[in-house]
Amino acid sequence: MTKKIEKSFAEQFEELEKITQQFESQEDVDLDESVKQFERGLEIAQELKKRLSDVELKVRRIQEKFNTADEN
Amino acid sequence: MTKHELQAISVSECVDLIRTSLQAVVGDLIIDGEVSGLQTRSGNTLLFFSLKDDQSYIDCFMLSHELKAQIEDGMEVRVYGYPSLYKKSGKFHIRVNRIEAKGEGALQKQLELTKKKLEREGLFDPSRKRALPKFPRSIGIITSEDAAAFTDTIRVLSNRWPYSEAILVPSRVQGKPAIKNLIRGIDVMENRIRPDVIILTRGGGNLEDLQSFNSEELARRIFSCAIPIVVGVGHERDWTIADLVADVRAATPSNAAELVVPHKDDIVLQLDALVDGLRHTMRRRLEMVSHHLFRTSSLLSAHMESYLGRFTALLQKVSFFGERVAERAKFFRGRVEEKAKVALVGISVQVSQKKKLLAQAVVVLKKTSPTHILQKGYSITLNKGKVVRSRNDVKEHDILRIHLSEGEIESEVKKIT
Repeated sequence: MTKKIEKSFAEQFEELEKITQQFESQEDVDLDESVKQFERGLEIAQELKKRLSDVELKVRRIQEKFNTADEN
Repeated sequence: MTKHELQAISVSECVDLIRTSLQAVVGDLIIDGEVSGLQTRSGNTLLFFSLKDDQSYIDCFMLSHELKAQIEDGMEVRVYGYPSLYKKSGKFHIRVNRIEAKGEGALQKQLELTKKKLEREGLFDPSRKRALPKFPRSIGIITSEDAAAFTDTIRVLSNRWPYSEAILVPSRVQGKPAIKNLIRGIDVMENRIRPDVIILTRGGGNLEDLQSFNSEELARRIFSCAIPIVVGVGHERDWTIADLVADVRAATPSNAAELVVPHKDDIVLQLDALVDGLRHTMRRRLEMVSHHLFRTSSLLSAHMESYLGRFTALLQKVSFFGERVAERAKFFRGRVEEKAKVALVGISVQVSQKKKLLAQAVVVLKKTSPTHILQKGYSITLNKGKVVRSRNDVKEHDILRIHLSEGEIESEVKKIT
């Protein structure tokens, strides 16, 4: 997972939450608009689930001289 | 060296000589003792106190900014410094450059003092604590690479949310260099790595082991860090200063990892719930629309039926009315004919009656007519068109016209009697 994709995970999740909230709170909304929002929501949810595939945690170690330096 | 070889020196030279000699011969000292007579001078920049045991005491001096942890009278401390004399008074003292609290009781006391001080300054203020990102893309970890704390943290992150990147900046977490190491770790994170969140962690230990996590310096660095920090120290103690100043406090290294990332299964559940919510709302909305359509169409058909019914009724009425009109016309025609007949009869009767009356009237008229009277020998005299009834109606020489039964006579009035 790159940084970019991870960032968009948060953004997309937020978007999905927003769509769901809006979708559930709105009344008297145009049916065509409803269908659009609904389909967009499902699409995002599917993309997000796809991202939750099996991957391994990437671990990076920063080696620094100061690690062993016995500074006072 | 004999007495006569001695040369007189000045007071200040004497002080310098003894000071230099002391430092050369005695050198650095580490002294354990109890703090007493603690006081600050020159606007809190100079710190004076005595260090004593049950037999002796010595004066100590240090600069306030060199004091890294709070001390107070009665506290058992270990002092690092060297012997010296004040230049002005020549008085002996220990020039202190570091103080450590000694023993669990003193450490505890020092910890309480530091805590109080930082609390007063607002470093633990809940309003200053920042929320953690929900899905951090990078997680900075500051801990000892070999410690169980690190492997625990990595294990939990892998199990829960392997979609982030974990970046370790190794650091000593115990011993003298630990505080500087940890602070440098935060510097590296903040200035170079810039992760979304930082985990500062170590396993449990006794109060002395955890001293670096109770340091005022580290507390201030955690407080000033631009990136939210989660502190997770082993749960042997209730708290460390670092715990209190952290944005989020975790009970253990594993707990720190749990607080930093969500569990993927929970997110899948949440996604399913969100989708369910969307489906539910969509279904409800469709039901509403279809209900509305059904209602509208049934209303429409009801209206249609009603109109149709009325129309049919109207049609029937119209045709019925047509029949009725013809019937009524016929009826009226008959009635009119009948009436006409009766009327005609009536009229003819009336006419004959009137005729009779008329004939009678004519007879009466004839009897009462002036001409009828004239026939009896009477005449009518007119003067200028007016009937003459008395002598007053005429004057002498008036020409009178006299109507007879047959013909007229003009006569002149000769004399009125």
